Amino acid sequence: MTCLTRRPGPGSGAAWIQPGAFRSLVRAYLLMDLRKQHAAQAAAAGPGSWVTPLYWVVAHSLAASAILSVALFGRVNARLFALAGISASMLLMAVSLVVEFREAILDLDDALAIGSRPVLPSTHAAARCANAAAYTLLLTTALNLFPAIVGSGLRDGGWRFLVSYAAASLAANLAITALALILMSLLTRVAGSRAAGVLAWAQTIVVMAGFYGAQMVFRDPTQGLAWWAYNLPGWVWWLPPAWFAAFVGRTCGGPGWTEAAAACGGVLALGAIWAAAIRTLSRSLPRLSEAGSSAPGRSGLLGSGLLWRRHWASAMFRSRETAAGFRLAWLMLRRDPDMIGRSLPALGSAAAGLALGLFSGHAADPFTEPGAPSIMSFVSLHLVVLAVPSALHSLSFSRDHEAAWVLRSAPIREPARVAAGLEWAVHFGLIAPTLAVLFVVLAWSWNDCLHAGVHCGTGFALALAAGSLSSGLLRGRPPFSRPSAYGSLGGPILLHQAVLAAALAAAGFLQALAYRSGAGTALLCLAACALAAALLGGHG
Amino acid sequence: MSAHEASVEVSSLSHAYGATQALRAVSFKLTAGEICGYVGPNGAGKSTTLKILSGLIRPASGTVRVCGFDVARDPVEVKARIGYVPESGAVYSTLTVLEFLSLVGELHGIPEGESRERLDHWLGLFGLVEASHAMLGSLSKGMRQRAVLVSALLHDPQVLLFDEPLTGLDVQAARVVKATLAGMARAGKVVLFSSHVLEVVERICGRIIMLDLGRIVLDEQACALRRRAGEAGLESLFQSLIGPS
Repeated sequence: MTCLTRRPGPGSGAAWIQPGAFRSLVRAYLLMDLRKQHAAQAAAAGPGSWVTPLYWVVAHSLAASAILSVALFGRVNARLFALAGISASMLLMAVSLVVEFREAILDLDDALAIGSRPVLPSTHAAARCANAAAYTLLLTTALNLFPAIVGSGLRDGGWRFLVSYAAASLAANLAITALALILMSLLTRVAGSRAAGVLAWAQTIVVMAGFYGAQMVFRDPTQGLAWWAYNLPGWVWWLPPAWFAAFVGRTCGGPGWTEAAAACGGVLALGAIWAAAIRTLSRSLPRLSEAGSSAPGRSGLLGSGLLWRRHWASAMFRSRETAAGFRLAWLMLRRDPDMIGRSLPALGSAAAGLALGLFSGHAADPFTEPGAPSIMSFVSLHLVVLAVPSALHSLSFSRDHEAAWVLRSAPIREPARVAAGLEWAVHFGLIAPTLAVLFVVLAWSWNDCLHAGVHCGTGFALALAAGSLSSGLLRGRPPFSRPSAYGSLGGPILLHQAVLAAALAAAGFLQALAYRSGAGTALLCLAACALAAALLGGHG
Repeated sequence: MSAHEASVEVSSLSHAYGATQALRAVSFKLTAGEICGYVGPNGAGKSTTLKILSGLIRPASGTVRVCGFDVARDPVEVKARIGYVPESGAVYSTLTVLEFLSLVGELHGIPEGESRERLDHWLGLFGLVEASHAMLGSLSKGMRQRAVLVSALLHDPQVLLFDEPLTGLDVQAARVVKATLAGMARAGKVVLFSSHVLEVVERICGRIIMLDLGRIVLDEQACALRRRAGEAGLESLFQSLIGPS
């Protein structure tokens, strides 16, 4: 600890980074990360446990970039293709860093393990940065392999595109990683233990922005995107991804001295920004150790047991196991910063869908304006439902995973009942409040409380069904019993979410059909009530 | 011995972690009112035995009966009758002391009113009343360990499985633990006390089992051992049993 808080003395000033310690730390970090992957694979109980979590993240990135490449191919020129590819890559990289790799950079255990060793903070910070850079390289490959290959097939692309795009995307992702490191370090320095919560909200906003941008590609059957892309507003070219795209575009046309100078300048700038990242992180490390040990001393009102006193929970549920699972998950969802960081972003896309619908005029009342004008009313509702599996999946992980002995050594006859309690915590703690907000916004927008109520009520029934279908994600191990490995939070449930999304699309079709007539709506309400009653009765 | 009387019966218990054999045909019996010290060097298999007894891991072979119930066949019955303190002392750092203990009480099916009475008693005894609304993550290791100890005693278990229970405790709290264990033994409970600290084991345990490389190398009454050790002390005797390694 003393070392982390100590500034290099006059004697040690020359050794800003100690090579031996740096090598040892990087090797140890990478080794631990790889072993965590195998441990997570061995410990996973759900479908897809035959691959390590990191493979899922790589597959996810490959799939996203492949879809984007195919969607843009032949519709835009090389520069715009590069702009879209690099922007998406930088966005997904930033999200991955915050969601999956946050602990790689700001690991609270570091303070305990390294704090008392004769390691300079700058060496420690450099090792953590190298650790993050390794993942940046891996994800950059996954995110840009398809765009680089597909883009070289463009009329104005060619082999020069392949080379320049690879270099530009790597530089762009290294730059965004360094920026993320700086921002996270500063945030930790300023906000201390509240940093995780602030990051969760920032991430939600990033997901919203990303969702908004991605959907525009697909909602463009009239070549409007191509038209818009060729007439981009001037400010777009001041954004960092545009600098890299401009470099790719110009290099495709035949590189000259200007491009060579730009490349050299870029390398120098990249070096400077990484040096700044190491410096900022090294200055934040003492605060990191304080953040780790400065959990709020007393429970706040929001997460307080006052809200869910034991007798209330016991009155709600027939089984003590369900009540205990509910209370534990309820408190963790409100207090554990990591848990908050994992659950909020899933709802960010729903908020983005709603905002998009409202601003683009596609969130109309589906009862009165069926079809395209109301499409985002369904999408935003179903995105809330889609948050259920990711929230349930996240309840398997915890920084306090060693405390799972409490549940393991308890006389629990049916572990499924504890899992049911977790489901209720997700439904009442996350989904119901979000649907309540959605209801208020839609009722205001549609000027019809009844329609908004039926729409959101159906959504809650669908969320209950999604929870029931996803309960397998919680089986096999007690909740909060797994340490998170890189990629384990999002990757393994992608297939599950894809299947659920397909089922929701079918449900949306039936919903739209039912909304067209009073009898259909009444039937839908009955079906939703019956479904909710059956699921509530089954678990309660 | 009646089916529900406090007892522990371990017979030919073996367990391995991959290629590492942690326990090799370990057998012993503990009867009501006994406080047994479970000692041995690092890696001897003490924590593994306690984890198997508390149903956290399944043994590779052998049988374990707690209060007449087979751990492999009736794990829930066994868990309802044991109070376990793990070596790690890990807790949910974002729960308060009261919430953590209330969760444990709920999992053990203690009615709420009774749970509150018991909590008042144990929190008072272990000096946790002031800290009862503090989050566990904000407390010192010793205070967290006190909460873990209360969680093991709250449901009035018949068998206490304590793995290094005095870690991080101050003198006062350690005295409370020792007095509590003695009281529990007098009330007919079984206590299996695993520790590295021979002085403590020697002072509070009536019987001592020593483990080395997964095998029992000694199982005797503490007074007989003291006589055998003579002036050289128990430490020398134990050292001679496990050798220089």
